[in-house]
Amino acid sequence: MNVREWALPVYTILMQLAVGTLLALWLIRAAGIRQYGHALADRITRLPVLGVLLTIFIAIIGSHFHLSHPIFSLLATLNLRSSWLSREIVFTILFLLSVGGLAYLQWSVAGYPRLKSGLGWAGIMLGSLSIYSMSKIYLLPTHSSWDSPATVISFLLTSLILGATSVAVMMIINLRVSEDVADIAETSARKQLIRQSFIWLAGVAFGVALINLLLNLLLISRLIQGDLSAQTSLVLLLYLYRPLFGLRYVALFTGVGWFGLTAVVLYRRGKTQYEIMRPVYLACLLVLIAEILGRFLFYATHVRMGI
Amino acid sequence: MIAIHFFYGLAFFSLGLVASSQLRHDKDLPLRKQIPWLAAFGFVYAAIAWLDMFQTYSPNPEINQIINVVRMGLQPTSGLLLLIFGWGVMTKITPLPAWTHIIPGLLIVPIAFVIAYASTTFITPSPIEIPIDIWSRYLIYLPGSIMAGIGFLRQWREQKTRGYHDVAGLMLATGLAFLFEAFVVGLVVPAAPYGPASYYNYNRTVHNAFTGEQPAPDKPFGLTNWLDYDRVLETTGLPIQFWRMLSAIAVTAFVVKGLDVFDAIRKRQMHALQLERDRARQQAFEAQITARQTAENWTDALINISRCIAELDDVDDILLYIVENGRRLLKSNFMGLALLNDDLPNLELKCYANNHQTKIADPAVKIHNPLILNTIFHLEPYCSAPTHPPDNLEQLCFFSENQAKAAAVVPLSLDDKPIGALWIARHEGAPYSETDLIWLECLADQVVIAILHGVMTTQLQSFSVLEERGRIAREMHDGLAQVLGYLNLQVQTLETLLNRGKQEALRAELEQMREAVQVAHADVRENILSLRTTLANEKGLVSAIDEYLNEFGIQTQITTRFDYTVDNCPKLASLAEVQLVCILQEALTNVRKHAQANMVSVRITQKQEAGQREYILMEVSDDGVGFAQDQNGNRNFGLQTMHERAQAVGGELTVSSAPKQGTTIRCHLPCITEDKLGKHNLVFQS
Repeated sequence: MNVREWALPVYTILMQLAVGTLLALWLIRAAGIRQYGHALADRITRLPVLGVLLTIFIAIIGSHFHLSHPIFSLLATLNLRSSWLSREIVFTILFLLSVGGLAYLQWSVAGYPRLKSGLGWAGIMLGSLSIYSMSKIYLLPTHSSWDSPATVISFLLTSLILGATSVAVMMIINLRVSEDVADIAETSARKQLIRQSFIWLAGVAFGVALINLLLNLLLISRLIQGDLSAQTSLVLLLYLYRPLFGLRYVALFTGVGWFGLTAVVLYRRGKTQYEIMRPVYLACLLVLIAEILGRFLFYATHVRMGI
Repeated sequence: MIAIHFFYGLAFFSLGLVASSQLRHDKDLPLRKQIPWLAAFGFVYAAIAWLDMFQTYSPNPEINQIINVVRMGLQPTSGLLLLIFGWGVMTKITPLPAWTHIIPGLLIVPIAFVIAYASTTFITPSPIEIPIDIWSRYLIYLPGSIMAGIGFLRQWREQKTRGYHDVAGLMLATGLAFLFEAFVVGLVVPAAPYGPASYYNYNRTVHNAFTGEQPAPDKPFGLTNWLDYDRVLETTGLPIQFWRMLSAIAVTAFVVKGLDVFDAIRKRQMHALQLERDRARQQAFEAQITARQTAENWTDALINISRCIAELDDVDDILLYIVENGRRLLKSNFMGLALLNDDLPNLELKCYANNHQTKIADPAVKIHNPLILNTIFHLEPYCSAPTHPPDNLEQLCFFSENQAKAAAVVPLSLDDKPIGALWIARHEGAPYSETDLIWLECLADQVVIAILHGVMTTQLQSFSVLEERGRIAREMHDGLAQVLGYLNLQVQTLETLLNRGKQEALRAELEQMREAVQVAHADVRENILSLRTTLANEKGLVSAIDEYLNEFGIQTQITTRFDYTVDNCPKLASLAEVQLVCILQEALTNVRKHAQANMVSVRITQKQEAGQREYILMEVSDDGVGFAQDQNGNRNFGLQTMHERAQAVGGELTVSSAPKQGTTIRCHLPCITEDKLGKHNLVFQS
């Protein structure tokens, strides 16, 4: 793959990262509302929402690099009824607008807690539909390695695991940025939310990693029984790209394991949130590398049948 | 080329060598702590360069293979060492601002993509050492050099802010050298069939599982064709190894120079700190000495005051001593002492000290200053603050043209009742401190003690006089009672003898009666004289003694003589004067009763022996019959009393007598010192 072809992995990974992060963030926000109220929960989550919005922007910009004529990309939305690509683009734009509106409300308008909550959940739904549409694009009969429910599931799983790890990074960055301006009560609330949520996030990440591994094993067994292109894809995966395949899972489980260990240390041994900053960064980096490699393998191992 | 390769390696080896030699610098120098990493980088990169040299010119493929493997290990290692050095320079020498801690978190996504992309290039058909070389440079050398460059550029700003422009220039040069190295070592990479910096876009190949490698359209894209070795050689005419060698030399020179300068700056700062510490220590020492001197001065003053009181010195002298020394020790222009009359609030200045004189205020000056009056009424000390309105500080400095600018007042109290006030004032200078107020209160306590002591001394004198009068009265009573009783018996005897007509016996009895009456009469007259002498003490000791002797001579018909050779009044304490008169009276009584003398002389002189105090010597000598002194030292009651009187006032009494050789009584009484004159005590006139 050349640099231009990397635009697709960049776009898909970033979109899934954005959706997964927003989902994890909104779940944490719901827990925060129960404990500390809407106002504090909004203050805690507004910077990560801005981060999600920025990610969506970069993803959309990046996606244009794989087009020969980016200026005509909007024309692709015209086939909404039949084209998953059109639906993906529409849902992506709607996702962008909902998150944009949410960011505006959180930063500029006080109150309206239900509207903000609803907008967030709407964004999550639209983003999920975008990912679903994105994955459906690849369910092509001519591409045996892609044409299975595993593609849709793997895209959603990527969204979950990236969301779990990246929201951890965002929470810590958020804590560092806000500690100079927030009062003691708010800082304490942030720290408590981090402490409580990291265990859950680590658990989700580990579960998703396991499911991902099982899914890949199922995919491999399916490819073994598939046609020539399926078996060619399998050969590419297990021979040419074997180092990357192995590296992917080593990085994934190392990252997830490190994150879990860090969350346990934070919860039980009373380490501060600042002391776990580097381990969390490293864990997120490893998981992200793993998922990017997975996406690379997804694109690199597909073999097209026919013309 | 071989020479270039050699010097290329030599440059980095020199970097390592020179950096190692800089380890002698102070271990606490922040830059010095990063030097080992730079030295290690230099050595390892030199090894890589020389391995390249051997590999290029070695014909043996097996050796080349081994060199390749070794090089593959050394390349990322050297990059890692440079990365650690760069990180240390950027973060450890001067701490980064707090907001920079979030940058790694923000860079996770791009770093992840780059690493993932890099890992995919390892499975391309190109030799593995090429991606190792390329990604070592992109991912390790490049950020390491950039961080080192940023670190030194931060130091440039830091030193510029501190005013060390020479050092700042050096740091700028070092930072730029590292950025140059970032470019030539980290960004210019070997050719490879993948981006970003390669000839990929000109000779691009695509791997296809079915058709094999396929040529791709020739489309240049992004940062490409001039970040490779060929383009550098083409543009500059020199190979990239030359430019890397140059960067190594520049880095070496500037880092070494920078270390020396940092060391010099540190030494300069240490020296300045040392001087500052010495100066502070010296100031503290001087302050300690000053404080100790002040405390000693105060201690000396207070001890002297206590000693004067204990030695029964005159109260006026003590008070004058207090105000003068208090003014001096408290660095004031005026110190005043005022006492209350019987009628409150009649407060009068009694004594004072200013820059020119120290004296008793005569006549006394009435005090109207509200500060002083309030202090007395409330029994609370007062100390003026710099912001205090000046009008309340008027009428504090008497007999002076200048007005007070700062003052402190303390009340004088006895048994919780105010008796006066003591105050100090300054014309200029800093206001009084809490410590000054404490010292003033100490002086006030001494003033009260001195006044109390004077009152008690007067009372004691009066008590002694009263006691003496009581004794005389008892003697009169006892003597007369005895004589009257005897006369009563004798009258009965006379009546009997008259009835019997025994005229000779009658005359003998009458003669005895007459003698008894004469003795009693003499005793009574002497006692009356004693009483009158005690009362006449107000006229002065010499006058009292002179008068007593005259009267004694008249009464007893004994010739008296009085010699007084002291220039002025005898310098005796009041109680000592009383005891001296009593001793004289007792001595003259003994002369009248026992000596049978014709003449008695009294001589008073003042003497001083070497190393001892002056003393008054009174000699009472008669030409009477004398007596044999008891060898055992036993004395009769009168002599014993005289001894006790002399010892009570610190003196001694000696008696010299022999039969038919008269008697001499010598009484030594110590004088008070020269500056304590027995003047009239004006304080007690109020």
